[in-house]
Amino acid sequence: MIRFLLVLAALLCASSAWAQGPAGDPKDRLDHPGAPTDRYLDPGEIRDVLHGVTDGFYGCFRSHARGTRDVGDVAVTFKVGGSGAVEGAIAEIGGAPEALGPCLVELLGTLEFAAHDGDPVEVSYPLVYQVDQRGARVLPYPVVFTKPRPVRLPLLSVPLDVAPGELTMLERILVAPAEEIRADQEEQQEDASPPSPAGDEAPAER
Amino acid sequence: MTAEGLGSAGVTGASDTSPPYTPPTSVIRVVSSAAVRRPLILLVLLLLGTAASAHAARRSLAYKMPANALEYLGFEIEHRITTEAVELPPEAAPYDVDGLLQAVGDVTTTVSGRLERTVARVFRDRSLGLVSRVVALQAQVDRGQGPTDVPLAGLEGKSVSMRVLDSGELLASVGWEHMAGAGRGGDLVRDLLLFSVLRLPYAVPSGTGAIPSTFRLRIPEDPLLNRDQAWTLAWTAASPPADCRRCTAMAWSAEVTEAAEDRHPARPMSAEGTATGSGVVVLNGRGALVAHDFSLTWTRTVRSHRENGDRRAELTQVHTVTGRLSAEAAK
Repeated sequence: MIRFLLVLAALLCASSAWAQGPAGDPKDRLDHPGAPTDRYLDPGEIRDVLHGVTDGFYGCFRSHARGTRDVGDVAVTFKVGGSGAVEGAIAEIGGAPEALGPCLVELLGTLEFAAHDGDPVEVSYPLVYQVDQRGARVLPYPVVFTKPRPVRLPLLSVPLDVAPGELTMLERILVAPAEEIRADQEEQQEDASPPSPAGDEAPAER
Repeated sequence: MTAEGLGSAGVTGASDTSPPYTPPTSVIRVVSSAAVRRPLILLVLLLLGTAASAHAARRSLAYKMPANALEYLGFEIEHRITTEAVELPPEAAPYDVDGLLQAVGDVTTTVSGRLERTVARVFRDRSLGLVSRVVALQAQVDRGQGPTDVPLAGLEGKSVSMRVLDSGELLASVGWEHMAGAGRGGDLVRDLLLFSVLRLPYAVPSGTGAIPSTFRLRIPEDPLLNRDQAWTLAWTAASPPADCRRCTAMAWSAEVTEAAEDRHPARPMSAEGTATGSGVVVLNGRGALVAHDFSLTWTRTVRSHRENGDRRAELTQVHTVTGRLSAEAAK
């Protein structure tokens, strides 16, 4: 009898747990990468796409930088627009041959990121080309650098048409450290003082 | 497992050639004995009673949101925001504070546009993953000398994803940081987005009685800033529009408290606020939102702090939001 009741209780508990659904799964997060509710790009998603074309980056180095032992600091910079397309790609090629740049830019043009609702995301990604006893290769860099948009005074409702200078003034008054205010004052004093009488700029009368 | 799956499992069992299952006689004897039968019947009755009361407590009022379709909600909102400086720090001395306070002192902003909403996902607990996007925005700012058009490019097309129950209970939301901050206009649509799924009472109010409702909201505006609100509402019956057949109208009046602390090291600020407001929600016969008229007046005290926690400045903002959200025909 006791066993029967225990089985019944276990069945009831199991069914109620099933009805509630499993909890704590990271895929249940609204912004889990790839979820249909994830409408903004995060650096991890961008990094995954870039890591996916490491062979393509290596192909460019193999074609245009073969034999160059030290290519210097090579990096690509671009923006990911709302459609997910790459915009304004630039390659900094350090000490590598000139032809490497267009190859990298062309490769970036073929990349497709997820469409998103955010502002264009500014991305910078270093390309580490390594030549050693094991041969030459491009190492997938673990980090992509994105430029986050500063969120200014989010607790205050500020009119849409407030001039940038007025907004900066508000920040200076409310939250800026003393050094920034001092620098502002010094700048104002320099602007207000007459130009120093030196060389051709010196006034005719003193 | 699906019902079909269970059914097919049963068919497979029935077609088995093994003899039909008969429980052991010892089990039959135990279950049919009077000493066991009585507590067993009591247990079954108890379970049935619990299940029935749980079913009765379940909400009968819920939003119906179309699956696999975009829902279009047009809106028009007016914000009047007055800002007063209660205390300004010595750091304000070198600046033209009077001019600044004139620029932010008393400003009315009107915003119109469309909310495009879709059920992007149904979670395993049957909660809905909504994506609500603000588009076709137009804004005008008025300082008492007539309205002037202002661009809202920073807000156009931005979306917020919300996980809600069909009652409107907000479980989680993301995306606010992409519209937050001065000059972006996120503060002009925040209340609107929340009102698009205002949590409904458990039943349609009738007669003169009011149905109380209370809930808390957390709006993650930034990884280092949460806006926590506590809402206390009273729902009463209202008259639906004459041209809306089988519609249900419910009026609400609310008192809200809010607390927020910005933990970003470059923005050491906090805010406390209270609001009173009212509105009318109209749902059609199926439960889809037809219209929501609302008005809410916030009084917020915003403080900035020094490194040691002392108060540096204090401003008071009175923010009156009046608006209407109404369903539009599919585009």
